[in-house]
Amino acid sequence: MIDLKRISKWVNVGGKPNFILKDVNLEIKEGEFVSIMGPSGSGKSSLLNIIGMLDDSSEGEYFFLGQPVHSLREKQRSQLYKQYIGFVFQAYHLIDELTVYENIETPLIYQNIKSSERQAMVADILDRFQIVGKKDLFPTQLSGGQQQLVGIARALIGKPKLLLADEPTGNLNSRQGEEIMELFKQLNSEGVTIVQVTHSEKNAEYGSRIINLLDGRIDNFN
Amino acid sequence: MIKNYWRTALRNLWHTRTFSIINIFGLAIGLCAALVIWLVVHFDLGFENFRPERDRIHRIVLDANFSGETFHMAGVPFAMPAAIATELTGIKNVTPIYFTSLEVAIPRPGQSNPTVFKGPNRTVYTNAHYFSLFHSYTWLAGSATPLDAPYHTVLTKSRAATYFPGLNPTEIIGKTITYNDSLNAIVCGIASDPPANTDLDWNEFVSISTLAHTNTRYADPNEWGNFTDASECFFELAPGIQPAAIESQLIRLWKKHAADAGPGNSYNWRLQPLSDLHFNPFYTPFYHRTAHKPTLYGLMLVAVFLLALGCINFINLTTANASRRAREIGVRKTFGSSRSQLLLQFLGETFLLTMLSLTLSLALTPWLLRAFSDFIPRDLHFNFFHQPALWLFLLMLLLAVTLLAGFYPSWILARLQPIQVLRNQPVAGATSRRAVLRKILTVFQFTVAQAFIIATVIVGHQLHYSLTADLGFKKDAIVNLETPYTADAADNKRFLLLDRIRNLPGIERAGIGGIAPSGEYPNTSEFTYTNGTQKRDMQLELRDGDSNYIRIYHLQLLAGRNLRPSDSSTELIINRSLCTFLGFRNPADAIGKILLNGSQPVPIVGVITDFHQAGMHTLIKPLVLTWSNKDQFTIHIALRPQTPDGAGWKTTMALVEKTYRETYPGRNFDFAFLDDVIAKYYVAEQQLSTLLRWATGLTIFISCLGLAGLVIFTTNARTKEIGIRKVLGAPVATIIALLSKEFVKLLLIAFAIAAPAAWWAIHKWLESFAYRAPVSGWTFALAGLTMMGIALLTMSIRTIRAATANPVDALRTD
Repeated sequence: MIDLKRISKWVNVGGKPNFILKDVNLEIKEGEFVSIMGPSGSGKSSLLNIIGMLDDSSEGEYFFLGQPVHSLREKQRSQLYKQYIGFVFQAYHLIDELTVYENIETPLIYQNIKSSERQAMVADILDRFQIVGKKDLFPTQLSGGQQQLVGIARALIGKPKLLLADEPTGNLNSRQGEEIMELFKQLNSEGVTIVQVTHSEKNAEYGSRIINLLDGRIDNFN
Repeated sequence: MIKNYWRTALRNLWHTRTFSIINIFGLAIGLCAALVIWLVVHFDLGFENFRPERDRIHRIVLDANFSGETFHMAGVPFAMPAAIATELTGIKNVTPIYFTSLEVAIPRPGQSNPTVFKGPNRTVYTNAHYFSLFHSYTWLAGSATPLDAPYHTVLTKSRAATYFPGLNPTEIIGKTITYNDSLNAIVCGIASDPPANTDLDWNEFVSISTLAHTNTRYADPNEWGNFTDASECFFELAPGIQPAAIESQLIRLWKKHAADAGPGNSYNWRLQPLSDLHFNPFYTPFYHRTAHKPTLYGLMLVAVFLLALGCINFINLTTANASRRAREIGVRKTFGSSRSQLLLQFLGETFLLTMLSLTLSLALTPWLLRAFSDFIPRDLHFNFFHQPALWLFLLMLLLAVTLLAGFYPSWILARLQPIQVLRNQPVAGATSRRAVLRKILTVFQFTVAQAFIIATVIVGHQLHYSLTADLGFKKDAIVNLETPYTADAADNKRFLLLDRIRNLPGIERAGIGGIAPSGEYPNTSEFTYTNGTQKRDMQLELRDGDSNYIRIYHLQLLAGRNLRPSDSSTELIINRSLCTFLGFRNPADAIGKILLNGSQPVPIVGVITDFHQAGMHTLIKPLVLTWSNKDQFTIHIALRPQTPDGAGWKTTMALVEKTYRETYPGRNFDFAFLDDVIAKYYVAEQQLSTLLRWATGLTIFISCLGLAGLVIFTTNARTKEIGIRKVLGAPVATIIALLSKEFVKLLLIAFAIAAPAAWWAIHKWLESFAYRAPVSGWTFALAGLTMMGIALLTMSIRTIRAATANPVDALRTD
């Protein structure tokens, strides 16, 4: 599903390239649950952003479902991730001005799904995540765990094949974190490919594979 | 999707309500000003526009040249229109006009006395061609054809309703109207009322041939010599004929009929297109006001500035607040929103905000129309149902402001990269450039405000100077009373009146003469002075007055004596300027010298100090004061000082009026206080001053709204910094200074730009004055300090609170 070939990413600091990622080769198959680990600054989030097509690599090739992402135009790329990828953020990133219901509905709006259909889909997912009672609340009225639940619901509403999560439990207490991880595991078992960035060994264990990053390279000696 | 946007927009406006209110008010003021100014400009520029042939209809006007002075008027000799109609080619529908006010009496069946209407105005003598030339009228009854015969009248619908209430138009036809007690005319037609945007707003048309049967001055069918600007002539050019061709025919016609004007004098007859009628101050449209085109353009500029300032507030506050929206943008993009969708979303929000502002401004408009009533033509209406153009204008305004205010911030917001904004850190890289733009826009705002302040101060200063400067003569407590003209030299009624007035209580002194020392129009005469072999012809300012004149006006004699009381003096008093002009350093040297007035030698018996003859706009000219009782009809009255209860002058004037009415029963009591007359020289300046005060107030208000917004934003963004500084021991004053410093810098830049620009503009304006109040650097310093003071005060609302806040709270919120 994901095939990264010799991906490098650098920024110029004082005229010299400062590598964030260097020569990363990575293949992720459909149905996998991959955890990316590594110390701060090792390039975990950058790698996730490149996989999520939010950021470009400076060098290398990236094939997503066989499509050469590195040579696609912005619009085609946006089409691709809109359809196949869902994002979950550490800081939830819900829109404060929208209710729980409206937050979850937003991705469907951008996929041009009809209103009646949207209603059904949002109702389904609210039901499934057992947050029907909260649908008219605003994000600030929810606890962190509940917010992240909404964030995941929003990521899943478009039925993505791939779920990208950047430290999804980073702002949560351990019990809430466990619940989220259980949810991920369940989603994975239903066929959603998951790539998560995490600091926590324990959370990483939920995944089927762990990739260790160190100074922008995949550390194979772990 | 729209619903989703709508909701976000509304909730966002509510969420940031301080900024929303600032934006709405700023824009509403701009929109309101734009709306009012549009109403005025649209109204004035639309005069006569409803006549498709307005460029072919012309009026005859005259530029007469007498010894170097040019006089402009729209009057023609009474005999001219008839001669034009028969002798000129290339024109049609020659329409004579003679306007006057008439006393109207309507005989009523069953009543012994007729109903009298005193001086209803907008009455004109004309012929049936009028309605062929200006064919916008519809006829409710009758027609204009009988107007070619004497003793016929056409009324407009509203005038007919005044004279004959309750009758329908067809019943009014054939009724009799009595003019000035003696002339009976028959109503032959009822026409529709004229629209508001025309100067040809007559309500009553009397056949002009009737005039031959009255004793009206200068209204003889063979009169070529004397004429008044109440007698005018309109016609339409035939297709393909140029005005110049008619003008040369006119000059030939004039030479054929009129006497030669004498050497050095000339009459230049010209054609004025109807479309120029409302705008040309040289030839007034039947004593209506003329619109001043530069003022209209100036008004438009003010509207544009006010709108721009409102838009700038919006741009500044929206971009300053971008980081608040950044997360939403990042999320929306991550979940598939395209840039154009976001752009539309934000433009939609701007549209919503502009709509709210427009609603508010519509509510404010009637109030503003009242505040600006001095500038607003009386016939102007603010009515949605009758002005489709107004709807169109509002729609365009709405779209223009939305795009102007909304496009840049929307574009900035929409192009934020999700990767940057979702990283949980402030949007660093992009803000610095926006901050520069924000600074530039803020500087622009304050440059405009600053320039307005400077202009207001200087214009106000000059106006005050003009109104209070020593004119060289007394202008307070002086009344000029006009007595009726008479060509009969033996008619001494006015002298009898003068004697009676002198004996009234409350009168200090009274005399008879021509115009007051300062008059709006020049009054000149030709004199010759021979100094040995050298002969000088001079066109001198002339004042006529009896021996009381210099006492009434407190004119100071520098040498010699006053004129002797007599019927007609054969002596002159000259002013200091003339004395110098003639080459006498010492005024006493001029006494006894002879000036030739035509062929008559007149000795100089006195020299007086200079006084201003026509306000501060013109230089003091050489002048002579003399006395001839033949053609002088103005009684000059010096009142005793006003009584403490403030009623003395009123009582005195009531006595004067009573005396006048006994002497001249049935004539108009026409008087004016001299200081009022002089203040009227500066009507344009006073209007400008009022307008500037408003524009200044509004620009300061809008700019300060924006400044307040920016200060709120920066103090919010720097809460943590302030907290840390306070913990480290910074005193409150230092923190206030720190927060204000950045803006003070911008204000100084604004001042540096505004001062020379304002100086240049005001310098141009002051050039129209021959005598100017000195403009010192202090004026500018004062204007700059005012601006700075207002700005610091605005900022202090927020900076003091931020500086005195408990640092623990600031650091904990993080």
